[in-house]
Amino acid sequence: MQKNQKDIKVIVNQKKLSSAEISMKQDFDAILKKFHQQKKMWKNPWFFGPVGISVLLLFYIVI
Amino acid sequence: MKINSIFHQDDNRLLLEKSMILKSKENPENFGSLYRIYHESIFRYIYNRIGDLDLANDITSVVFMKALLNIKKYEYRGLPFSSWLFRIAKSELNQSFRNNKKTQRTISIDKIQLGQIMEDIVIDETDNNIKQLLKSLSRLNNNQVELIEMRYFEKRSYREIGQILDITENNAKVKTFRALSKLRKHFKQRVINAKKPKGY
Repeated sequence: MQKNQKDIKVIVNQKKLSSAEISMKQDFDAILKKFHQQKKMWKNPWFFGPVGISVLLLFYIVI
Repeated sequence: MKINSIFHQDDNRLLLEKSMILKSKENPENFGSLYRIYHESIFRYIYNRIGDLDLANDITSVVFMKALLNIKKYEYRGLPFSSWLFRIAKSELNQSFRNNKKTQRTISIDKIQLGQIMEDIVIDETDNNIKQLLKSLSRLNNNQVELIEMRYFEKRSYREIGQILDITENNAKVKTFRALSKLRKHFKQRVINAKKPKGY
């Protein structure tokens, strides 16, 4: 509670951003690119290699 | 109080939005239309709470990225798509406050907006009262600040607040009144303390 109270900063009359300024920051292509990269990572068998080996090792240790 | 009506869409718009969601589930590239509709409101929501342009831009990107990654799990329940996006934004903001010690929770206020709060908690709009009210605001906890911020500074309806916070409209109203009475209590305490002579 005390931490919250200290952390809040009140800014009065902060410069208002226009819609044009905000729309300049739009970059859907970058989001789409990252999305495809993430999807590729999950599909890559190399990603599951270390995970699979760790699971098998854990299973072996427990049993 | 004048309420921002952008959130409240008619049935036709909701149906159009539903078809956009379905198309996005089929092909991620179709998500672009939803991104363009909601980018500004999500960006403003984050920027008002973080006060840093670059960070607000980064978090906004993460919000839309997460939405795109999870769009297949999204279930349409007759609510605007934005309520789901706001919930992701809220969670990402909290994560940012937890992970980055330098990130500070901010409240962005126009002095004009304070007038409505002062009217509702029945205090005169003097310079000293404004000063004390701003100090009292920073004494509230995050949840209380969030409610006052959404109602008074962003002019959201209780229905919208409820949908963003995943609570009922009535609960949003009750919680906002409680936050307001807490603010009034802090304010009165500050005024009493200010009147006390030094050394007491």
